[in-house]
Amino acid sequence: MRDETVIDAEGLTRHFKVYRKRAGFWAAVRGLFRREYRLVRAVDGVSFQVRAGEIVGFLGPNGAGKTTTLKMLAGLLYPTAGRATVLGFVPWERHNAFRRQFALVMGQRNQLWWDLPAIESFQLHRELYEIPPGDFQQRLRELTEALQVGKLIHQPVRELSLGERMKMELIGAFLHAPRLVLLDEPTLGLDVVAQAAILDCLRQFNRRYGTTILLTSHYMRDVEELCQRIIVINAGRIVYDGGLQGVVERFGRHKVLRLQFHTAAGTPGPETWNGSIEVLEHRPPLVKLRVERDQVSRLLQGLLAHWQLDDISVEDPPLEEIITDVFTTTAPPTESREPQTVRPAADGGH
Amino acid sequence: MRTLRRYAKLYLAFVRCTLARELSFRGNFLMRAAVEFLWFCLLVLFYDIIYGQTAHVGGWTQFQYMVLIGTFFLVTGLIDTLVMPNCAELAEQVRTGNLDHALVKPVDEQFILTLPRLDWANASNLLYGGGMVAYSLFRLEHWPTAAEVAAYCWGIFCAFVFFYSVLSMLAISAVYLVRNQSIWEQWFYVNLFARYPPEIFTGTWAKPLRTVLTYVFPVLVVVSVPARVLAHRVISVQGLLIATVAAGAAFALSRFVFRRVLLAYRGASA
Amino acid sequence: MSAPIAPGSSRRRLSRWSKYRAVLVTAISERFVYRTDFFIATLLRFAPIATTILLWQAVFAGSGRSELAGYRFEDVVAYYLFTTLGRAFSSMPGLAMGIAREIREGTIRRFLLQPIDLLGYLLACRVAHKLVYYLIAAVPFVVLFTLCGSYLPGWPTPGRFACGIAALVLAFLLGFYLEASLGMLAFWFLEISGVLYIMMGVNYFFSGHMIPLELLPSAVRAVAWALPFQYLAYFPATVWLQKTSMETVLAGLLVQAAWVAAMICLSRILLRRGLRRYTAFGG
Repeated sequence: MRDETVIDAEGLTRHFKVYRKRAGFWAAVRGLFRREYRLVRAVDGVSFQVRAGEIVGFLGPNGAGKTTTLKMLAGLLYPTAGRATVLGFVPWERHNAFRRQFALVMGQRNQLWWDLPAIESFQLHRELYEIPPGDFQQRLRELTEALQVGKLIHQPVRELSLGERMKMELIGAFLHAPRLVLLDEPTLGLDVVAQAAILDCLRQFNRRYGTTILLTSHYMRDVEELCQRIIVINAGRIVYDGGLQGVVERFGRHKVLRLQFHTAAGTPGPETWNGSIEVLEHRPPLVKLRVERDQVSRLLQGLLAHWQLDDISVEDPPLEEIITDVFTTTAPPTESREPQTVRPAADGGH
Repeated sequence: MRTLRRYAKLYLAFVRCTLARELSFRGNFLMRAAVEFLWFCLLVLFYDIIYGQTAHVGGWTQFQYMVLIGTFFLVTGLIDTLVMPNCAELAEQVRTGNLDHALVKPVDEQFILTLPRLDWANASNLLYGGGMVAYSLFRLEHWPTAAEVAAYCWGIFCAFVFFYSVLSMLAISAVYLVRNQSIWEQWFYVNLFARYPPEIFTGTWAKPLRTVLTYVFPVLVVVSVPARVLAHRVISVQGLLIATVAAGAAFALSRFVFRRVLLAYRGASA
Repeated sequence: MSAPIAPGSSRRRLSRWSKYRAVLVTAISERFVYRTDFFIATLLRFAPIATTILLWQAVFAGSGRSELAGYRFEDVVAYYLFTTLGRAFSSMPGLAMGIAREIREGTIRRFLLQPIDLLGYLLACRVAHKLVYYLIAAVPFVVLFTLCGSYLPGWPTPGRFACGIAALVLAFLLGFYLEASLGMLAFWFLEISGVLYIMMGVNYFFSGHMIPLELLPSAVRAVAWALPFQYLAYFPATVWLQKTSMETVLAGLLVQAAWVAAMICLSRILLRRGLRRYTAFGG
């Protein structure tokens, strides 16, 4: 069961023709008769596999192709090229047996009846997915307990907070015991507490039911909390697929050095650090530096030879920062050629 | 059979939900029922004024004509209650590009996009229309036979299926055509001719129009045939046949169009 | 420009005008975006005329008379054609609903912040919509009036023609301010769609769009004469029908103008009171 492949995508590609709307009156009049289109490569040859029970984070900036990929996996879009099997089905053939076994949650898009208590929508789900009454009751109890929303399911959805509504959406998504749940930006617009609660639930459900979860996000936090594995997508291509730590190893070109000198007087001045070393903090006797990875050991050797140090720690920079680096360096050629004046840390000659 | 039972159950669940929602907005419900009643009264008043000037229009006396109007209200009331809220929502979903949720559900897409929502306030039209038919029959002193009632009901059913099919095609076609005309407006033009007796379509340009609206796009048939059964006590076999064929063909076409449009919507290349 | 008589004032007026012009241009380009069935929609709008002609043809045939309440068959058809023309000027689809939505959702607040007058802005938008509509509707209108030429009276004298145009423009203004006033009711009532639908029915009936007002029962007719709705469709139609004397027409224009003035005042008062109430309650 554990090594069963749930998603198998190979060379998934999706191009869109987008109507180019011009500004201005005469352009609008011209658009009345002749329209111009431009081709957008939303997803461009994406291949990956997901095994049963995995939680995979799909990470990328807006417009990277995350949602489009998700839609193809959900059978909502046909690919322009490539193939995929999801739960043993070709998703875009949309067999009922396939649709019964997965759920799609799109952040900020409401599936529940707005003016009714969520329980009414859940009962509709029971009919839609033909869930046996016993299973339905048990599962609903489990889910509401896990999310601690027992009473809220009897309140009209419109009276709930955004976070509570998202919890209801999750209950709706997990009610029919799907083997795969696809979530598109599940924490979009939520406050930190609600975000944490949602992520916690996803983890719980994943453990309890062994549900495979694929979620997209452009927040690092979601992924850091939840996923053993992340797929980074940018400009329609996968730029990384692997464990969290691997991102750091592969893309983190810098380390953060935290140096605790013995005395304030015995702390080297800011002018000491030259070359590619960046001073993040200078509060004698404490100094925080950003150093290129391959220079760390040489720097430390030198320091230990000349200064008295109480404590040294070498850390990776926050994941958020690393990912931002990945995105800026793998951006389409036209953009990466532009001189980067704002971020001296970025390696321009790469 | 199992499928049918499943969809019946599912539909009932939707009926329950819409009813629960409607009951939570009772004031709005009464208001809208009142508005519908006002329009109904205006129409009755209009024909009362007309029949103050003439004894018959196209061979229909006032109460015969009122049977036609009542039947028209029954058919459009059914559509407004059962179909229109879905079509309006569908057009909106197309506009916002949000058909996705409906399409991932393990049910027939035409069913879930065109039938689940009900608008109970429009059901009041069934009452007005039914009342009008009953009152007119009383005034005409027509006491319909079982055969006439059966023919009438079948006619209404065919009319419903016909209009349902046309409307669902119009609604889903919004995927291709960006319209500034609302689905309500389109519905108005679809049923516009159905509220008149076919006999008034005389003259140089109206004659061919009548032929088209009888055999090609038979809006003149679907309402007038059942109305004629009760008003004139004539069961037109030819008329019922046309209505039946029209309903069946329109429904089959709507299934086909729905499937093709959704395929295109999802970006399937031909 | 040349002499500094009133520096700034003319420029200010100019910039205000250009602001409205910007609104106008944007609205027009917006209209063009919906291209696909703009033409079809405009054509379809005349379909009810066909059924009306057929119905009245049957009514006249059934009655066996050549004149009903002073209208010959041709006059009735011409009457409906002209009321359609009047409605093309006076109907304001979505105006009241739009105002109510802005009030409900609080977006109307931007008119408190931006130096642009709400009614002026909406009027500019509406003029733009209507202009584009006429631009496109002109072709089907001309076709329709040509086809129905046999039902129409002859060309009016220049004086009557001017009066006809004036009646249509006033009908437009009356329709705009009437509908805007209705929309402002949303300052006081949460839900006004019911009121709007009922007014739609009242308007349809009393404006003479449903049936020539002369055919109404006398008691109802008395009510219709006392209301402003007749100036939205019935009155402009009678001007173009040329069955009334020039004196009646001029007197009618005066009353119509008075109703427009009254509605402008009403909408202004409602707007001021409403906004005051709005800020008092903090929106």
